[in-house]
Amino acid sequence: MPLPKWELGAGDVATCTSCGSANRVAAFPAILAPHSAPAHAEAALDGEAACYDHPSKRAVAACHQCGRFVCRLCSIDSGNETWCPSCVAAGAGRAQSANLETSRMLYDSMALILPLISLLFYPLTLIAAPASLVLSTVAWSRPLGLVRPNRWRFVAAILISLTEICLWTLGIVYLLSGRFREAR
Amino acid sequence: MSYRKLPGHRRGFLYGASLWLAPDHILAVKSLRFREEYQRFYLRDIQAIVVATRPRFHLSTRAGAIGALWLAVLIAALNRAPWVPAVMSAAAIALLLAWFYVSYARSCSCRIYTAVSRAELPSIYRTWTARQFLAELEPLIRQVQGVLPADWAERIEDRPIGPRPKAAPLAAGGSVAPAAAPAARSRTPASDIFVASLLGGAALQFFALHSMTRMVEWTWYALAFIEIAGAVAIFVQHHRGILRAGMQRLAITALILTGVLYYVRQILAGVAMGNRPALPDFAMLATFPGYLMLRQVNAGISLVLGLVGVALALIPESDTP
Repeated sequence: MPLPKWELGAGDVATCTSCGSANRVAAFPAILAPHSAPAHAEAALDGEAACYDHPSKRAVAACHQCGRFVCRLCSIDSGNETWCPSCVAAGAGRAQSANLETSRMLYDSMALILPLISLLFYPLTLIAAPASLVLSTVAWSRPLGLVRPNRWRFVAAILISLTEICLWTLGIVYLLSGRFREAR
Repeated sequence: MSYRKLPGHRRGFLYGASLWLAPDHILAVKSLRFREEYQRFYLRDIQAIVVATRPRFHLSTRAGAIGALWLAVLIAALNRAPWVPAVMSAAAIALLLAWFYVSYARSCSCRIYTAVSRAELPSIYRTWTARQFLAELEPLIRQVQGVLPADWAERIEDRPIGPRPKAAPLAAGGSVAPAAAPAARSRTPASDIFVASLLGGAALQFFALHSMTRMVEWTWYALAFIEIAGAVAIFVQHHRGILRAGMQRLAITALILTGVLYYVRQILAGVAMGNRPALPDFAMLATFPGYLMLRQVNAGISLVLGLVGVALALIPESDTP
């Protein structure tokens, strides 16, 4: 939905005529920028560089990763760099920038929550603690969330899982030794 | 790339949200327990930020922690002095009134506009946070984009702000819009089994309230197992977009309550059996007043959850988001 004009009518703070809420609007110069027209690649003339994927179209840039010429339709700009669709699709080199990621799995959260949530129904810790330990080990080197600075969740998951495994081992040993004593 | 935290953090029980600043863009992070979703707003592209005051009754994990602390203090101090119940009640009322006031009168929603998108920022939901956020961000955007001319309001009269409405026809040469994803369903066989296990558990508890046998107990265990399996299937189906969020929330609630009741039941059984290392005598347990009350509570909760499940399953699929 576009921004309703009434919100800008009062400049800074406007009141909604239907619900009465006070809206504070911070507008910036991008509001005046002309809408970019749809990308139309221009035909290449004789002697001009042509797009690698569209030989009849004029090249406007070269891919920063592989050096192929790209037309306006094919050029993908991110920051100060231009990439071709093939490099972006393949995640090649610098085209595999974190800038393009839209989601990440949080294996550290998964590993931490497993041994904790299973405490709600403690027999499940018998499965959940080893599972968390394996997950922590296997996923240790995988990338964390973009804004997570360290792996403390993995460390906590390993410590909690080891504690639960130790408690189970002690319990089982205690029960078995009691049985042996009774048998003698 | 290094990110700096911006004001505002939504800490929910199921999902959270936060905003981070990079040299050239804002990163909006939505945390869904085991997954983070990212959205970037480049400083050069931001057209407007709109903060609208409106009630937001959000229960954060911080509010949950305060509630738990209050409960812990109440339990610890209940029989220590005669004035404790009055003071704790007054504290509870004050906390509730404060939460209500902040939620009703000091809350807002925040939207950010670019030429191609309009997005809510869920982490900005209190007015003081919105002020801090704008105070920090406005100078940075102005540094990148410059300052608006004095006649900007007139110049945008015939210009759409933000993304164009979806109904608008595409410009010549525009690409075909992607087909809409199929709508999630309000019920599946897995959710039906889950709801049936809740109602079955409630019926079993009600009908066998005074006739506790090992058979009844094992049937109850089997129903609990079906309930857990059904809840797991519901999580998977919701994750795949097959099932709506309402049934998933019901499954989460049912699992948490099942876990809590399981522990309370174990404690009561331990008290009734005097810590003897043997399986509880169910006939003796049935006569234990606390245990009987627990079974009534359990049956009541299962019934309510089951009825909520039936209501969720019967909601027409076009009526819910």
